[in-house]
Amino acid sequence: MSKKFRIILYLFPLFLVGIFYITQYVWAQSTTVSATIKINICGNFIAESPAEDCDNYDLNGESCTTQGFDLGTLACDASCDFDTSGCSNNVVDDPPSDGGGGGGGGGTPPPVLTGITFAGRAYPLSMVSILKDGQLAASTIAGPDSNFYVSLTNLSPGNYNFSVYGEDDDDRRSSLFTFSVYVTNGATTNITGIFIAPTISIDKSIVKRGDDIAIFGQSIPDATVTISVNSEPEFFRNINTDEDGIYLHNFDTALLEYGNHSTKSKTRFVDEVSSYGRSITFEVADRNVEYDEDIPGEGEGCGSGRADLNCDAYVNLIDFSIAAYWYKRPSVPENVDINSDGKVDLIDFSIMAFHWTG
Amino acid sequence: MLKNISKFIFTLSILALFASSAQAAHFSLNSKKTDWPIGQKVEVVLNIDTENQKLNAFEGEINYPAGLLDFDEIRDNDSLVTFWVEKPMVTSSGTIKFSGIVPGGFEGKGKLFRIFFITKDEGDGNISINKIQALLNDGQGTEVYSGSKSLDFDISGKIDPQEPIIIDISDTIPPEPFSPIVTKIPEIAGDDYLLIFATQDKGSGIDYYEIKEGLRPFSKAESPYVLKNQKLNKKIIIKAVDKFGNERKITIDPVYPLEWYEKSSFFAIIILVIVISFFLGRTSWKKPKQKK
Repeated sequence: MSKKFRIILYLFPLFLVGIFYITQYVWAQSTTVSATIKINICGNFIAESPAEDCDNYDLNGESCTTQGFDLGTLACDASCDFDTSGCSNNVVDDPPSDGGGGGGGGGTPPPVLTGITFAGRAYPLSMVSILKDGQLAASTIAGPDSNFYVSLTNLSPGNYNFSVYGEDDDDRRSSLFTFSVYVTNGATTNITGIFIAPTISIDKSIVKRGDDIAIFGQSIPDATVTISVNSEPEFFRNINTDEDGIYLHNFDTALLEYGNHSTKSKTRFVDEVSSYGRSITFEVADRNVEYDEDIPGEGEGCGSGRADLNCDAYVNLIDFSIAAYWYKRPSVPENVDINSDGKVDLIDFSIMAFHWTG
Repeated sequence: MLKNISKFIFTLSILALFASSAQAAHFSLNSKKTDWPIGQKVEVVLNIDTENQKLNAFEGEINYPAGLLDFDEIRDNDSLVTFWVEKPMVTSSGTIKFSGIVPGGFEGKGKLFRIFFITKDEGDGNISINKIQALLNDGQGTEVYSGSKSLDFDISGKIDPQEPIIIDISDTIPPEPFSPIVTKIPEIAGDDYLLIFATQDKGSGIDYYEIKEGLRPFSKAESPYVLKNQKLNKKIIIKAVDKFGNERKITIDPVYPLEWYEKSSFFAIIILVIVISFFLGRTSWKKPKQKK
């Protein structure tokens, strides 16, 4: 065998490893899905359509006539919507007795509070919670069409971490939709296009190979949910939600190897796609075990498998305080050690931050 | 030909190895200038770039030459970190430790905190980041590879009187409103009631908290705070103070308020009535005597 061939032979495994890494990397990059939110600021004197009709003096080229009136002065209100109270039609049935008057217009625009609004999609008639810097700031109920709108005012200008999550009909919570926003002084920042990922659950934590596992949850009505079952290869199933946003798919586990697997889901509606929601794990074995959401480490129940240390169904500042107290201390109580490794360290806090509800 | 193929394979493999390690977080220390005169207050910012990953926990240690720099203060008012497990502070001479979390995770470029030093001696130096840890928001606490960029600096000469001095922009806005929680946590304080609280100040950062229970004076406190009045029958006031002295006071009404007959004001009134009655009675008793 020639020396050149030997060199190629030696480099070939390296080449294969290289190709493997590149495909893994490219695949990981191309399959990253993130829902896009749109941010516009009401009060910055720039009409950012389509969310804003106008902004203070910026009427986006509109006037009373373009709004269907004959004359008058078009204005902009504090919500960045057109104020047509100064517009009128040129049909005078009853002329004003005093005559004269008129004029006016101009003047200072209405004061805009420092605040932020949130608009997006959750689940029909579901509870939507807004966290401001990790603490519950507001809650609302989404409409039957899943759309929600929340407004927070009287904020200090500065950088905030906001999180949004929804709770479905069975009190399952979505993963947090988190973003960082700078709130401008004297302006209202509008966040639109929030698309909360679907909730997910399964009927078996251990499933007999060849039996079906039911994967279900809730999203917006009449949309397409993509269910991913993580395996080698990864399986994808597209199913439609019903009028209540419910989806259900019976996945045939004959396709899966024995061992642990996970599943997650995302929603597509027209041209909008949510991010993937919470991932849920199950095992393929030779028996069936019903999935219990209250068993620690499985569902939303409390215990060491989850970060709800005081078992009040919320992961918030109280749980953080408990974990922070035991941080790097010896003899940690079993229920405080989230990942059961005998200590409370940054990993426990990371798991807690993932399950945070505020 | 074969040589070219070998080169191609080798280059591709090296690229692939870099591609695999591109999934990382990058910490960096930055300053507007790196050549400073003696006696100047300088600002060093710790930034992070999560490089397209959602991270939710950060930890590390900053080391600086204490012979060249005097620590002045740390500002975290514009930090991306929501809750500090270990608030950034000097733990020993030349060492600042920190660890914190972002519920729901953070993706992008952001600021962790700012450190202010006063330069004190001439010389070249380096501020470095060590023992760093960044964890994915994946529910498992998976660690990602973390790189860092330290800051090299040079201190020489005296401060130029013409040199602009860093002036703090005045902060007149009090800390954010917050909702303290009174609760029992057996793992921390057994059967005792605790007070849990946290807020933020966007202008200059929280300096300290103070708590006043009933008639007791304000005293500095940290969360979780074991309440002195375990009967919860008195008003609690929690005061958050920012670095410019702006205050936000939150009052918690008594959970188990005193009955009307238990209040000290009731006894004060009774005693007052008795005293007045006594004096009135005494004077009215003396009057007939004087008539005789």
